[in-house]
Amino acid sequence: MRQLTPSVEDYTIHREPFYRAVADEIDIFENAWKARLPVLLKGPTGCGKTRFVSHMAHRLGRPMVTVACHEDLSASDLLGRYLLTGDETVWVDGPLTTAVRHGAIVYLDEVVEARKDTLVVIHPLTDDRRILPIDRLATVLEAPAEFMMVVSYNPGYQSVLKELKPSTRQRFLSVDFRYPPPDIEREIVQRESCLDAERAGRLVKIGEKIRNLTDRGLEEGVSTRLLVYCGKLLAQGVEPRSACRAAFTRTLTDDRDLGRTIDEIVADYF
Amino acid sequence: MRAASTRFFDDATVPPWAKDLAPMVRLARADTAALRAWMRYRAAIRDGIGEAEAESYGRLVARVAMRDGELARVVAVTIPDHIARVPMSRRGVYFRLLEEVAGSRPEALAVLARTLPDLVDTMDEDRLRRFVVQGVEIHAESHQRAESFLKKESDAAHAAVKALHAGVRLADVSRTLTLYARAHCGEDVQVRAGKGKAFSDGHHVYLPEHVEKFGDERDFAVYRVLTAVGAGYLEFGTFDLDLARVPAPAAGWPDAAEGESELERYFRAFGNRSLAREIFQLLEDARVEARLREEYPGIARDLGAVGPTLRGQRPAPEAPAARAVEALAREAWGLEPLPVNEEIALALAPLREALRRAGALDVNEVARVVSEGYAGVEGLMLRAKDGKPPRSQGSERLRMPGDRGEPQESPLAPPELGARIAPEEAGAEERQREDEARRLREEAANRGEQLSAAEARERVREQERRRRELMEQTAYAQMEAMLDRHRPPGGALVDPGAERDDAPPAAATGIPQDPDVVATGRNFLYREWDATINDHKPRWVVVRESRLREGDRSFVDEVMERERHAIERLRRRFEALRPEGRTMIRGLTDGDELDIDRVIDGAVTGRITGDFPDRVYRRALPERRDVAVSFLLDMSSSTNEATAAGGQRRVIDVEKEALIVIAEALHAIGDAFSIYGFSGYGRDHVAFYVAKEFRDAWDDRARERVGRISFKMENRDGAAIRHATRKLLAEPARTRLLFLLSDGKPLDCGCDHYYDRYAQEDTKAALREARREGVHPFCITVDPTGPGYLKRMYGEVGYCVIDRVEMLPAQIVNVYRRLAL
Repeated sequence: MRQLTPSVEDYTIHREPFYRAVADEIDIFENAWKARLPVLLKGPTGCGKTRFVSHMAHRLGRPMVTVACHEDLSASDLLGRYLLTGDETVWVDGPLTTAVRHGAIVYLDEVVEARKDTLVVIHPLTDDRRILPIDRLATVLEAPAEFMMVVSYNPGYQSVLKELKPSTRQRFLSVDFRYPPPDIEREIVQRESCLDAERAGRLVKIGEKIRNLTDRGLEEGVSTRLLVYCGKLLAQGVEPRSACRAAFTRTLTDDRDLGRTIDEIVADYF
Repeated sequence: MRAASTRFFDDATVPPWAKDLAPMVRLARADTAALRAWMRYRAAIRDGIGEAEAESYGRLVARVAMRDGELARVVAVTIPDHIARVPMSRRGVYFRLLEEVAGSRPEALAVLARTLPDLVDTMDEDRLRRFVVQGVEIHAESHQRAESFLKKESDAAHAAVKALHAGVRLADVSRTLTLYARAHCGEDVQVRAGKGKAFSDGHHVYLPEHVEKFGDERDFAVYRVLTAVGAGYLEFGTFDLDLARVPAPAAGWPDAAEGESELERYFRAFGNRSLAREIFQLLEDARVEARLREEYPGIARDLGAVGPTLRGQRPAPEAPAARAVEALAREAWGLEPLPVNEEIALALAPLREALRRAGALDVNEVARVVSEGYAGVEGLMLRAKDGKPPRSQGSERLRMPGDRGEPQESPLAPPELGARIAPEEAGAEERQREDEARRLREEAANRGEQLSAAEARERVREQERRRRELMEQTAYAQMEAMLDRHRPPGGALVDPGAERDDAPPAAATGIPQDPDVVATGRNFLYREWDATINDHKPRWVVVRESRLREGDRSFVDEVMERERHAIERLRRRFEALRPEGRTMIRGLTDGDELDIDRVIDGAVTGRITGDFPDRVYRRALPERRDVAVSFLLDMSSSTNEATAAGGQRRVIDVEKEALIVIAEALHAIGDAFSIYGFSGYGRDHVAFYVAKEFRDAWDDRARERVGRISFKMENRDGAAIRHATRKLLAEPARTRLLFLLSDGKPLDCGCDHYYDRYAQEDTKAALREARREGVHPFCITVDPTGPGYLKRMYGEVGYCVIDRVEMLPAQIVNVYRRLAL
């Protein structure tokens, strides 16, 4: 029987991703990696969690395997499965198995979206055993020292009932992510979208005001990522109000009144 | 000529019958049947409604008779019913419009006479006339379309109403503005109607109901600016005044009264409060405006465009103090300066100086400047009276709690439109918050800590949020326990239950037409369980189904705004109710894993035929929810009583609020639901009101229909349950839920004896029948005073008693979890 493992080259990050540290997160992450501890990143959508992990993967010189979790994700989606080619059966590694074999950093994005019965497969990897049993192959893989498990979740819009099980949660060090403070956020928007400081500053202020609506009408505030998107449109000469409508109003809501409110907030600044 | 004859008829010496002479003669010439009808009803209208109406009626019938005798007869017979539905003050308008149409297009008269009573109070006469003209024009093409237009049912009608209202109505933009205000100040403010005025009480922003100054998009800019300033008082801390940080006058600041805000306390320190208040308002406005301009370039633009117009024409008073305040106002608002003499200029100097750097001050500094500058302006007033104590000192007082109703004379002509700082408008609830914040600050001070006014206010809000959440959680726990005692129903499908037939028309029962419904729909006959003979009475009850009219959105909007956290949480709870089971799908060409049995079969087949089948994978699919929910509301008059929990909240309002919260959440997760209400009078008239059918979208119109739900007459629960069950069974779904929301007192004293045991037993039987047919009924009783028979009546199907709207969503989620999955 043949076994296929995707090549490490597919997961290597060659150019350094830009990341602007807000607090001690880089330090914590580096030391967690050294101490072989898994890390949980908490924070709203688009505040830089994924960017942070890829930045760290590059910094530590490790490949990064990302899995976007969803409710239909099954254990075999993570571990791997048998495929038929002609009359031959081939085992193909799933992302988790691949990451363990390559000693990569595996990043489970939006981990609470996965069903609880799926998530238990990561348990043996996240305590001091650091092993991955694959019963269909009748093997147990031992994670190399470089392997690291990182998961993220967004405590904002998940319900109380959809929280991580304590037994899962207590296996991780936790790092809190928030939207960066205005000065840093402006710097990020400026740098990522090649926009002038003045307009980037206005975008950040619009962002602040829209975030005031979180839980007061909006489910989640506008992300740094959306601010950057909008900045990119502005940098290309798109008229500011229509850029903001595309990036903020239409993206954040389908509610007409709320949409108009966002338009009015934009009109406060442009 | 005409004027002369009018005078003749109006003369008090003319006998009453003479007034009738002219129409009588005309009618007699045109159509004798019309004349007879007119003679029959004329006296009835005069005695029952009024002399003026009777006269208008005669004129109208006579006028129609000249054109069309047959039509005159119809009009003569039908008008008396319609006129009774027109509010007293609008009857003149009603007849005027009918007469106009009688002159121009009499064939539209019948439709108009029927539909106008519901329209006449919704618009002013001018707009109404223009609306009616459009409706009458449509009538030339199709009388059905005209009717639906005049009933405001068609889209064309909605568009026309909108077009008739020039300017901007607050009702159309209040939600946008509420959110806008929240975005600015980051607090849970609401934009509310301010009876023509714009002000803030420190908690909410009040705006005029209608702005029509420019007739274009600048009208919205007016709202925007007023909202920004109103929210700006909160954003930039006007209400965070802290007298401990303002140098006190010689006598010290007055002691805080209960429920009094810091601003009110501050104004109380002045001899002439109105004067102090005006000066404070001007300086504080200048400060807030400067901060707004600095923070929001867009508002600076709007202020420039609409600001000067908002203030209106300014007077140039001669009295020195008034002139001083006016001069200050013009400077603050950036208008043409008012020349002042040296004495006034000297008195104003410190205030003017502060005005110029207002943006750099905070509210405590403004308060200090006002205290210092006040004496100068008051001095002008005192000197003008030759040293006599000014008349205003005694009478010009601010309206304070406890001395309401005293005249309030302002030294400044008010601007046409401008936001005002109005702490005295705060309601009891807000005042409690002030007290609580003050208490927190005192406690902090005792511990030797500093707590700013703003921080204290925020803490109070936080406490409120927590208390609310806690209450909700407790409710969830209670419901959970209660549900454990009630198992979901089961049982075989027997007995189809409902029979159906055409019943006599509603008119025959003598029940007047209900203004809350669009049109009476179909009628249904149902049997009823008679406990005294221990059998069903077949074809016993007539259920008349009709659709609720669309109405005012304000009730629903208010609930949605107030309960938005609850709606959001409930939505998440529903979303979290995903079934955990899985169904294995086999025979796929791609899937999670190989299906070993099929692989072996396939291998065998492959060896024999040389053709290897590829459908050998299997995949586990999570189960989906497939549910239809009906809500059936008791709209009997007993729901008009206050809930036993105390307060003024009526049972029907609690029912409606809970319903809106649930409907919003269900809508968000996309489950099918319908909303019905019922009431009625007697077995021939069980009214079944449809607010939302399964097929209706949950849109503004559906929300308006729910807003229309109100208490009516009696409640014959059994028949309503049977009809709702029947409708639910027509809905394709795996699980069908019926929630009955009532006050637990089935009662119909129409013409037979539907009460006590008989009524309870029939309700119980109807619920049992529903369950047998595959509907899960669940009864929610809003009033905990419900007597002990509730268990006997509802016990078989599960029920609960609630007293707060917060508990109901919790209840429904739990029932859902048990039954809908």
